[in-house]
Formats: sequence, C-alpha cells, structure tokens
Amino acid sequence: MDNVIKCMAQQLRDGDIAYTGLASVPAVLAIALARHWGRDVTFINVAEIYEPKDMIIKVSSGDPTSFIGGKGIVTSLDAFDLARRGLLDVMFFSAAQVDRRGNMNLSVIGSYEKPRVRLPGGAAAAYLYRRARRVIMWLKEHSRRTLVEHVDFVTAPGPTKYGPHLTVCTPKALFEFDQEVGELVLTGLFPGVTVDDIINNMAFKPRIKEPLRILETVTAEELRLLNRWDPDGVRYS
Amino acid sequence: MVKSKLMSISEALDLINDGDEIAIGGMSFHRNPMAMALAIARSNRRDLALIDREPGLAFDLLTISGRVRRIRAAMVTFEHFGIAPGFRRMVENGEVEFIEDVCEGVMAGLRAGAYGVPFMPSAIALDSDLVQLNVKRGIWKVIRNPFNEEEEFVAVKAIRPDVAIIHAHKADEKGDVELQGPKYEDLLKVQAAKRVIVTVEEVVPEDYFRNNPDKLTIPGFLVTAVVHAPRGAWPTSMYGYYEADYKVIRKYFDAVKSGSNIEEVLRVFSNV
Repeated sequence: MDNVIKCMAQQLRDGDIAYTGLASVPAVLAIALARHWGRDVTFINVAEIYEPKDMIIKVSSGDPTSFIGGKGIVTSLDAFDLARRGLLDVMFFSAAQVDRRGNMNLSVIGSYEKPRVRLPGGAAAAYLYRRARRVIMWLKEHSRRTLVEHVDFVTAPGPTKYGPHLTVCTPKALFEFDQEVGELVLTGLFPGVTVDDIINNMAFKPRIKEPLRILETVTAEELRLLNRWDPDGVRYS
Repeated sequence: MVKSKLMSISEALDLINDGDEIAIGGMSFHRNPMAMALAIARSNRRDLALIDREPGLAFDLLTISGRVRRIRAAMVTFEHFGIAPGFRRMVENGEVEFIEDVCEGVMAGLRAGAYGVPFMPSAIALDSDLVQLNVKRGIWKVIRNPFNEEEEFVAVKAIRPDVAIIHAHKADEKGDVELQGPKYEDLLKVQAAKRVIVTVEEVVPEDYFRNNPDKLTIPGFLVTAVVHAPRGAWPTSMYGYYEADYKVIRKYFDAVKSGSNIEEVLRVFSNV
C-alpha cells in the first residue's frame, strides 16, 4: 500500500487544489507525501479543515481532530461548487470495480435489486468523476475481481474525450486513461513486477504504452514519515 | 413573553410522527445527533425515512432499529472499519428501501428545499446507472437547459424533510444556536426542514449571543426545539469538545456485523 500511496502522490503537481473524501486515508497520505516533497498542493477535505499543517491519521478520514493546524473551515459544499465551476484540480477515489472504459462501481456486486454485496455507494463519484480536472484512483487489490471487463453497475461513468484525466494506481501498476481510444492504458509498473503478472491478474487485456515506466517504491525516509502520520497503520485496512 | 423552546428529549420525540422523513445532522463519526437517535431507536415510531449525504453511526443505528422503512444517502460507510454494517444487512435483506443518491444530488435537493424553489440543476453525470433509477423514483429528471437547448442535465427535486435533527455546541432557550467548526450540510437541512430539533452541549443565557454576536450560526426562528444533551454526539466526535470514541464504534460495528438484534446493539451505548 505504501507504494500505491507514493504512486498517487507522484500524480500531484505544483499549484493543484486537491480534495479528499471519506474512507480515503491513502489519499490524505498521498497529499502529505507530495507536500513533504515540496509540491505546492492546496489541501481541502471532507473533514472541512482547510490547509492543515500536520496530521494524525484516524479510522475516519473525515475526522476533524486528525488534521492539525488548519487555517479554518472550508465546507464540502464550497469544495463541490469549486469543482462544478471547473476549478478543482484533483479528486481521489477508490472503487470495488473499475473496467476498461474507466467506469467505476461502488454500488453493488451482483444484481442491483438482489445484490451479493451491497457496497457503500459512490458518494460524489457520479459527479466529481466528471467535473474534477484530474481523478487519481487507487485500488488496494490488483486482481480479476477489481479490474473487470465490465463493472456490475456504473456508479460513475468513465472519462469522455473531454476529461477528466484519470490515473489508476494499483499495488502492481499504473494505468492512465487515453482520451483518444477511450480506454485505460498500462503505462507503468513496479520493480520486480512483469507485464504478464499484471495482465494475468486482471479481467481485461489493456493496451500497453511502451516504454513502460518503472515506478518508484517508497524510501526508508518516506516510510518513516508514513508511519509517523499513520502510526496505527489505518492505510493497510 | 416568548415561550421557551427548551424541552426534554421525550418532549422533542413528540415532534416526530410515524412516516416522517428525517434529515440527520453531522457526518460519518462526527457530530451525529446520537442522544436523539438513541431516543428514536428506543421509541415506538414507525415507517420513518432518513436522509443524509454521507451519514455514519446515528443513521446506521436507526436503520437497524426497526423504526425506519426507507433511507436515502450518497454513501453509507464506516470508512476504514468497512461498509456500514446495519445498512448492509438491512439493504441486502430487503428490510429497508435504499434510495442511492450522489453527494451532488443530496446537496442540490437540500439547496432547492432551503432556497424555496422546486428543483435544482445538478452536474450529475447523465450516463451513471443511478440516473434511470432515480428518474424512475421521481426524485430526478433529465431536462434541457432553457438557455442552451443542446445541453441536458439532471434536475433534482427539492428535499423538504419533515424534521431535521442536529447536534450543536450551544443554544439559548429561544433556539439561537452556535455551531462551531465543520458545518457539513447542516445549515441547509435546518432551512429545508419543516421542524428542527437542535440538541446542544450547553444551554446559554440569551446574553451570551448579545455579548458575542459573531457566535450566532442559526437564528432561533428556524428552530422548533432545543434539548440540553451534554455529550449528545458521543461516541461520535464533537468539534472542540471531545473526540470520536472509536472503541465504542468498533464494538457497535462488530455487534451489528455478528447479527446482534437491536436490544443487544443498544447495550453497546449503555454499558460505558
């Protein structure tokens, strides 16, 4: 998971305004890591604590006491209005399933009326997944059940040729949505992972953009920082 | 002489009728109106409906209480503990009806309710599978932009809950309220609802607001009832007052997940 967080952090750029939602500890840590590297990222969040200086991760990424030294309150209403005006640079999501077209599912596994698993629901996905400029997605698991040919339910439809820019970080690889072909394309992999290993563990065969980037793994110093921010290891849950 | 709005929790319960739609304040494990939620869970109310954007403990507890027939939310999560356990059980078993919404939809509907207009345009993606479901339910409609015929969008019907229940920091007996820190959509809920119950950590004299006019968040004319409920958000957090008690929330999660009935689950909140 630490490498996934680093992959997410590397998608952040100077000048970004980024928002994190509930159940999003990896996203919060990605912002902390990018800011530690000196990237100028403005941080707004579902806890509504604006621009915290430091953090102690809790079970809830919406916990206001988790964010230390904030400058005030910026509500989710205001953050989502910003996105609707086209000014939110980055939104983070995870999902139970993502497919070739970048569609995501956080609603049900199985049929909608009689689900095998009733998932929590997509929160802002069916809206921010289209209105944020960039979406950084993470998957805890790189597998045939998370990377599927067709999602069981389209909670949020994948990007169009107009946007947003979608990247997906998994424990094995990085995918980027290609606006021209309308598909997720494999663009990077972690050291020691083979292309076969990536493709055999997903349910669709992605296009590959050569040459594949070798993704960086966390350094000892970065791991020390992640452990300081998240001493209980909530990011692994 | 203006009548005091201060009342006991059981008097406030009388403001809730069978079949009412209730907007729940707070979010996730933060500033949930737990004192009132527990009172409703132990009452004999029936066929209630709940609405919130990203609810947590109070909403989940009410969902398994047997008092609730229908729930509407954008995401019901216990975050890094897992899927909200009562929600999952009741929806998978078909014991409550779940209207799956989107943050944008709940916000737009509450805004329309608060603004006193029949609907609100939204930026919900038209090709989400949720669109046809919620159009069929009659709460969303795909309409054309009257100023640009080529553009379509989802209009969300105004949400006018019968009751909003909010836990806040301080209030005087006229219902003037101070709400510190994160607001979530609580102010919209207060404006959109027909009746408003505010439980508070502290009841203050009217002079508190006269001496500190910047502290007023909600004017008393929007509030129906004030209930003095110290630690009334526990075990969820109360900004500036106390932190979330994750041990108790975990206990609740485990109890519900293991299939405990509502009486057993309620004991999680009385044994501490």
